[in-house]
Amino acid sequence: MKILGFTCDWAGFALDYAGMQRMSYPADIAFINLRCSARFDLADGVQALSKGADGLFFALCPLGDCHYEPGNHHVLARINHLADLLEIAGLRRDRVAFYHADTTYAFGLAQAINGFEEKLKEFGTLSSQALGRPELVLRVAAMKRVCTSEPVRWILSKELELVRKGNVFDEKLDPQDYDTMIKHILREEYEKGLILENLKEPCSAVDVAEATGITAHRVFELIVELERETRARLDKIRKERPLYVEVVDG
Amino acid sequence: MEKVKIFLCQGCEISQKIDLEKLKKHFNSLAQVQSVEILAQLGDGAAREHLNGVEGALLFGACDERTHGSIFENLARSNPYQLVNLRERCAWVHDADTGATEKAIRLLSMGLAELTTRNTQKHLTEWDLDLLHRVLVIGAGPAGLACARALAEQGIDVVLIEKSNRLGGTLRRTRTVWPSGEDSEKLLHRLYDGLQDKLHVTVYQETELVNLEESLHGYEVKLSNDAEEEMGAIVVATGMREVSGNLFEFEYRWRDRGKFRGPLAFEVKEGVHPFLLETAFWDAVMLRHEKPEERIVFFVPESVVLSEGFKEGAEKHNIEIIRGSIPGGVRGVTGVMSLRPDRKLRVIVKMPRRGTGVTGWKGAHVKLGKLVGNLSENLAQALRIPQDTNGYLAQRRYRIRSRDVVHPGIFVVGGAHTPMPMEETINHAFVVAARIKALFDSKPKRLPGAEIDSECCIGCGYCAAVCPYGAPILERTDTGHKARMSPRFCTLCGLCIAGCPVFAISDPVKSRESIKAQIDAWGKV
Repeated sequence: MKILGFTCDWAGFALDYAGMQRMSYPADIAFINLRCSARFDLADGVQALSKGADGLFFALCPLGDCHYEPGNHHVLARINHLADLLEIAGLRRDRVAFYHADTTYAFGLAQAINGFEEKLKEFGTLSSQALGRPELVLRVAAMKRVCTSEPVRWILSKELELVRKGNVFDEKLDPQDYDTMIKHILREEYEKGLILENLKEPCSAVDVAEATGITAHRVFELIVELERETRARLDKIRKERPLYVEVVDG
Repeated sequence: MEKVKIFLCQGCEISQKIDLEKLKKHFNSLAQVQSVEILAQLGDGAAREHLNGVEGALLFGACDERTHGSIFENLARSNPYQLVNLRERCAWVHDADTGATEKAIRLLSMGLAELTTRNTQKHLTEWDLDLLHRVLVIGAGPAGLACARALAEQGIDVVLIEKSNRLGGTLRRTRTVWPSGEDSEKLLHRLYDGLQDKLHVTVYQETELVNLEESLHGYEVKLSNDAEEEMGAIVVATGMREVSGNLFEFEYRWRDRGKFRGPLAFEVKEGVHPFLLETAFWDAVMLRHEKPEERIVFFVPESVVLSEGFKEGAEKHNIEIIRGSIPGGVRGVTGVMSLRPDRKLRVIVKMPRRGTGVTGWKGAHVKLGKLVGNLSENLAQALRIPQDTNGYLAQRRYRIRSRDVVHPGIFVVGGAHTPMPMEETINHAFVVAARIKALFDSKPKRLPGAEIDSECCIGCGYCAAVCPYGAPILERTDTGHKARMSPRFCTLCGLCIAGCPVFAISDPVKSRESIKAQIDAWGKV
């Protein structure tokens, strides 16, 4: 079991305090220190998964007690998006966990890490899950594409404006509607990512459908959309079948 | 990147739980490591002597930065260094047979990755802030005067600006000070006398702050009298004012003339500030002592919640509380509003006489409305302080500092935060003056702020919207919008860095590459 943790400078107190109290927790968790947990980027989470993390753990300040005010509200939203993405990729969303740790919450923190480790042991390591290693790599690569794509990051950054602040007419989006929309966008972008991963070499829509498990009709739809976005193009026609390839921009 | 020298500490049970020889063997085999040394205690004099003259990037495997950080800062001198906590995060929580050594290797690899990816030009995480010993105090009310006085007495150059043409603020509008009962005018004299001639405070009347920009030695301020000056610190003492009410006027008239005729009606408006209600109640009790027979009534809307203490006190002093508005309304001269000395304090309030039908009676009518912050929206924006719905300046970073600090060098005093008794206001002003003196004397340090790559920026406005400190500002350019960062206000929390859609913002201390390298190093072991 390999767990990567992210902690802010202040919740890190609890971690050190757990050390002073000699509370034991599994040695296979290592923490990256960030000034505030809001520094956590979705792309970092997926990077950790690509480097073999079986789970991600976050030690955050208690809600409303963040030293940088809204910081941990934002990171909670990001953790939620990461869990959504895991679910869309066919992995368990419980592979991401967090604990609100104030300085003196060392005991609770150690317990939370222990509980998370046990839960992960039940799930098994990521590579030992039903899917084989190459397929996992493919899925994580598709997730990475989602996290670094500008439109997705743009819409995620608009949450404040769309849901909480509202526009000049004071029209706000219902938070549930926003969530549904984000999930839809993440799923679509993930599917596009999977297709693009398969289009590194010229490939037909039917072959991509076989490789990814998405229906051929949907794959063709998405490829047409990718063509419109100039992220994929028609390469050649072989045996009356169009072969598409990813456009790698300089 | 030059090669890294690693020093491991044996003390504090580290060597009992972690196989340091194994660590040494592992890291000696890496290309970017020059040497690995194991020392008995990294904190003692022998280690300092041993490290004397060692140059280049240093990686320490030892203990907590919070408790022992300064020791390693001294050990490293001006060399770039990274401290890995092998004590609290490894040796003290894991045992040798449960993988403490493996974890130590992992932690050290991550530290090594962070050190090697760090920009060596900026390895100093903080820079000295050379502040100009000059303070701008905005607002010449009790808080502003007290603060200016306390600062000037400590030998600090002070510029005091006031929007109106008279100094004194609230003290001019009230007769005595609540709740001590001190004469307002005497207090004003105590605060003001000698301020300009003996303490040499520069006072500009009918002057406002127009704009504020950060500069090398503090803030560059622009005033409405076309003066442009550089200030080391700024004190916001703009106070509060009463809207849709006349309690202050009433107090002034009452204490000035000393008498009025007829009963007294306090009309409480919805959304009244509790502070105002409390002050009015105190007035009512004082009046009760003067006029034991007269009717004193509070008309309180249903939406205003009254404390039990208020109700009990009202009963004790025979003050009536009637829920709802005045039934017949108010007619006549609202004499309370007038400051002309010949005008009588008399209005006609139509209300049911106790037990009988509706008739009018003559008396005084006091409206208790809202108290709001006095600071204009533009100024609050220039100062980058958020306001709440009543215009008070919101508290910031309460976990780190007490309530007067907003941004480094900007302080909010007195009623601009929230209405408070006069004594508290003046004490607060003294505290802030002491803080400013301490700030100037302590040679403060600041972290470098986040940096925005303006070529990469798409002007979406995320950073400007999300930053709690208002550090990034969205500016209009010929082709659209671009964000600009004000490093003085940035705390490097990383909220905008992680959320930027196009990765245009970077952290000079802990870069994106550094975090990625740490994750990679973690994954490799």
